[in-house]
Amino acid sequence: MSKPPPPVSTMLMRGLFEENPVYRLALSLCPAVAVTTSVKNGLMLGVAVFVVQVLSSVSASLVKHIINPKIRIPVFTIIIAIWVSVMDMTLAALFPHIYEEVGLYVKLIVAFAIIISRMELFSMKYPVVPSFWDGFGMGLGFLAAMAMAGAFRELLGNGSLLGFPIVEFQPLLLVILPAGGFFTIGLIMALYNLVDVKLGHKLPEEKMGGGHQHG
Amino acid sequence: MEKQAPPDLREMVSIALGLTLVCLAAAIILGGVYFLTEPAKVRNVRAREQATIQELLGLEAGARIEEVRRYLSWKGKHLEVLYLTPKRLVRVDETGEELETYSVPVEVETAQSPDAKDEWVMEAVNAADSDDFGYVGRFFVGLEDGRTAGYVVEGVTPGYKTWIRFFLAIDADFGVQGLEIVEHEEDPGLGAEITQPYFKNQFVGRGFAQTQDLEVTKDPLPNKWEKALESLGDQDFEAWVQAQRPLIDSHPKIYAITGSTISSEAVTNGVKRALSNFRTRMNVVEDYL
Amino acid sequence: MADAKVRSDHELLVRGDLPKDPGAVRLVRTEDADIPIPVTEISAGPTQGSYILATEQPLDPGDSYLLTVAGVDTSWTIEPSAIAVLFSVILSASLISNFVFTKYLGLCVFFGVSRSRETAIGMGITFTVVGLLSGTLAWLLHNSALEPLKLDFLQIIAFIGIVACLVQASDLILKKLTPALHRKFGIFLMLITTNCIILAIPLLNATAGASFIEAVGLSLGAGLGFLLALFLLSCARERVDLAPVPRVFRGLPIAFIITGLFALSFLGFSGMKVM
Repeated sequence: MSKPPPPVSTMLMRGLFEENPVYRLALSLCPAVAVTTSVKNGLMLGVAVFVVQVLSSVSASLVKHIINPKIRIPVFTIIIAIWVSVMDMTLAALFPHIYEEVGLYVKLIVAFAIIISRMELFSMKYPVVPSFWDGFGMGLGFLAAMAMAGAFRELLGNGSLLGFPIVEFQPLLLVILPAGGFFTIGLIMALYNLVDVKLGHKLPEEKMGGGHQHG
Repeated sequence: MEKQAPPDLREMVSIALGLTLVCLAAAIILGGVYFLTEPAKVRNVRAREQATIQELLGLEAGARIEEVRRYLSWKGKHLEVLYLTPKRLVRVDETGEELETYSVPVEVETAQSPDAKDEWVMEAVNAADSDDFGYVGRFFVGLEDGRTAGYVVEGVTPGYKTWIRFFLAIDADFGVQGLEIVEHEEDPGLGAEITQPYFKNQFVGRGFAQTQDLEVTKDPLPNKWEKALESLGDQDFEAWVQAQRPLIDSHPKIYAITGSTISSEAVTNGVKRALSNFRTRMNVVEDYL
Repeated sequence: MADAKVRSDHELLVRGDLPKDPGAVRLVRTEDADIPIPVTEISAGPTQGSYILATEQPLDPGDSYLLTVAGVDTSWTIEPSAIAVLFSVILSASLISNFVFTKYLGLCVFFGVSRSRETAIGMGITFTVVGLLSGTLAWLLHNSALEPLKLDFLQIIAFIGIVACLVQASDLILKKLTPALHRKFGIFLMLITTNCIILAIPLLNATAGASFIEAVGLSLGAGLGFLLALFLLSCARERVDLAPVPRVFRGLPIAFIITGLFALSFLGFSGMKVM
């Protein structure tokens, strides 16, 4: 368990592209569909998840020697629940406007597979500082994913970005509806695949041999 | 999950200890953060309420807003209604006859959190003696230069998803002065459009009788009416109503949001009921304000 | 065999002893108990001992009313039957507001498990059972402990705690009692803890102040809706896997597009009102 951790830049890029939580690992999809009706909403939840991810990854790395490995899953869950509750209460107190729109989804961060899987896969094996960067990279990837989807949907569905009107046309209501959310994610995933094809890499589907994709 | 040998005693202790420690840490952290953030949360909620009411009634910054809370107390078959105004707590029976008045202490009058007020009320009237006692609703009175500028009723109506909570501004003749949707979980682009001026302003400027006859129509919103509705934000309410009176009267129905008839009807029915109930209750309460 | 129910838009059917004078009775909505609804007429009902009360104001069969008579102890509570409430909540949670297609929850697990019909159904059933149990337990905990003691801020931890314990307990019980079932459903159990829906159910119940029946209905409906969604998507994916899909869309991207199409079709349920 003493492999040297990968360099920071690799971890950041991984989170943004190769192992992007939403478009590659297909984890934490719920908010990606639900909350990306506008860039602002997507960013807000993205930031919340980012903070919880970083805090949780660091906490897991800090306690990994103290806690008996047999109970690590419940402990991780409790750690995540603590940070999510803190984030929930802080948002409600400091940013009530935002909290109104993303409130339920903030509470659901506890169930996001991405956070607990990072704690298990990375924080358990590496010291605090690399864990911080891993969480940072993954959180950033998630944030970027939310922003991308949000931008796509807000532009087509509302003709605006971050509330600033950009194009003048009859907006496509479909894009703002849940169906549109699914379409958006599917399209952006295909886009990621397209980039990979152009770069000559194998697509994740093909790497798996067309078998079970772990959700 | 790999097959593991059952843990021995030492391990079980370490597991139990570890879990207990983490839970304890969780409780301490959460309790602490709650303690720190709850007052701010309450303050925020109050500030937003005041701002909304101020805007709805067109009040100046120095105006006073008084909250009147309503409680119901069941004693067997008998119903008592309690109204908590800033200075007085009044107990009336179901026909509106006054039973008793209590004086409200200063610390309750200035309390920020609604819980503090509710708790005092429950104590003052011995709520424990009642079969059922609870807070059921409230309204606000806007006062400017010592006279009543208007009322704002808080209403709740079942929407398409869950509840829709709104503030309805009412003038002295029980007509609608304004409507603001405060809380909802309707779909963006569909039910969520109830917060848009082109929907909620359709209620503004209607007299009491006109409001009670309101129906929802699926006809498309006429262009001229839409433009007029969206211009309310730029003008003083009274000026707008005067200018748009012919339009308001020529559109006696509420135009539903395309694709969201249920949300539109929910708001319409909620407004009708809130207004009608308020008028009935006002007859009882106005002497005590 | 209710004592009183809403007969039509403006009529109430009541069984019992009622005076002839409409002024002697008092009808109110339970929520607005201080606002009497005027009763215009009391006439004899279809059967012996029953009466029809006519009102000017429209009555809503989904609403709850209270009828009292002056000077007499009897009172009638008019509310939709528990079965009606249960049915309407289940229908709403499984179709009208399907948790996957309309509320976009539970997606993480949804896409992972929907590749084959067998795994989809397995997950769906496991989830419905665990969802029902955890939803009910969470409601009990919330209403008996968290809310009265003002410990609402512990909601998240408490609910996820219940789910985790339930999942662990189910795992152990299944392993001991029916190893065959455990082999089939065991893996799904573990995935449930990371399913957003399982936490959303108690949170939604708590926020809406649901009654016990409503909470049970929501938990059951959510599970059934999830099962339905899984089944539909798995059927589609099994066939799509054999179709000539463009390379970049193969696998997850096309699954998302299909789900989007399902979501569109489920929009057709919106606007349905039961009761």
